[in-house]
Amino acid sequence: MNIGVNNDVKKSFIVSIPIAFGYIPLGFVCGVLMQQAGLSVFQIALMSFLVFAGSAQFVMSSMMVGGASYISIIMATFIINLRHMLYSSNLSTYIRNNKLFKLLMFSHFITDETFAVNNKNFSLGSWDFNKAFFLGIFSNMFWIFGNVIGGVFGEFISVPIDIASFVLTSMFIMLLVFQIKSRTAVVVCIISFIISCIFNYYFNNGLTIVISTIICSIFGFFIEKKVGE
Amino acid sequence: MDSVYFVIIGMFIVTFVPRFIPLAIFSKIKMNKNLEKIIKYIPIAVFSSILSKDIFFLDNKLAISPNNYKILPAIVVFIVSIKYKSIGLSILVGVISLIILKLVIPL
Repeated sequence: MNIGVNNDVKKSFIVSIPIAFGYIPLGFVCGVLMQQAGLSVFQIALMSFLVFAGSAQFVMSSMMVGGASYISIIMATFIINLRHMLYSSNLSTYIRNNKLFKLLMFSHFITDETFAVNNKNFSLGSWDFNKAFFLGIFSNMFWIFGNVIGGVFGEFISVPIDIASFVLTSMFIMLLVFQIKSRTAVVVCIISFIISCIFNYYFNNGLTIVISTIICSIFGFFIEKKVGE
Repeated sequence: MDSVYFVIIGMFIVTFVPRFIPLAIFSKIKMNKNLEKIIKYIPIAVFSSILSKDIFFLDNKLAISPNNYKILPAIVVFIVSIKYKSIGLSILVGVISLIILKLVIPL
């Protein structure tokens, strides 16, 4: 049993390294912004652990600086993070048979990146609940680490945010390519790009991702029905 | 700034609930076959949405032009991803292309 767990931890750690390359620089920038918004290092660490959501933390920082009310910050966070509901639904198909308490702990670590990597590995077949869980934990640790050193050293080091965020962009491109395994997938991909560009052009909020994802997933269902694969 | 803790806890709750509820529900109830087929396409749809915003927008404004320094590196990463299927390589190539392009553009 112990050997199995050690093996899982090792495999998860290795898989988490690309995520670390994104989370540490981006977390650093996030930590700097949060520190500038007035949070203490402890508060930065606490939020990075409890919320564990980059875009929400970025938005919180700018809303805080702009003097927004706490309620509006919390509401904005809710909208921005609604997409995790879709990830959770998708992942449930792989990890249904687990105690509710384990699912409770697991769900805390669902993010864009942990979802993307876990989903890919589950569909490849060599993945299981424990490995996915450890991946989430490692990712959170890297995120907290990045944020904390950003909060502490932000005054002395500057990391260009466009490069830091392009690390994650590159990772997503690879993970998107991995998903495209059928003609239906190609069509859904193209339609998603177009629809989300249109939505993002007219609306600038977190709901656009959720709505365009739901619409395009439903599209995928119908296209697959017609095309057969 | 003790009232910040109110924000932290509030953000935690509204973030945790959407992460947990679907998992909790679908571990008790077997998912409808059609729903499962729709959910299968969530990854493609959501990655495309995230990427379209990441790549084609600068400062929340649509930017499909040579001024958008992200488009070319994104295309390069796309090609490298198809050919080599490696996350690490895609990230490396992406960051290097971006840096090169940013250095070259002002010229």
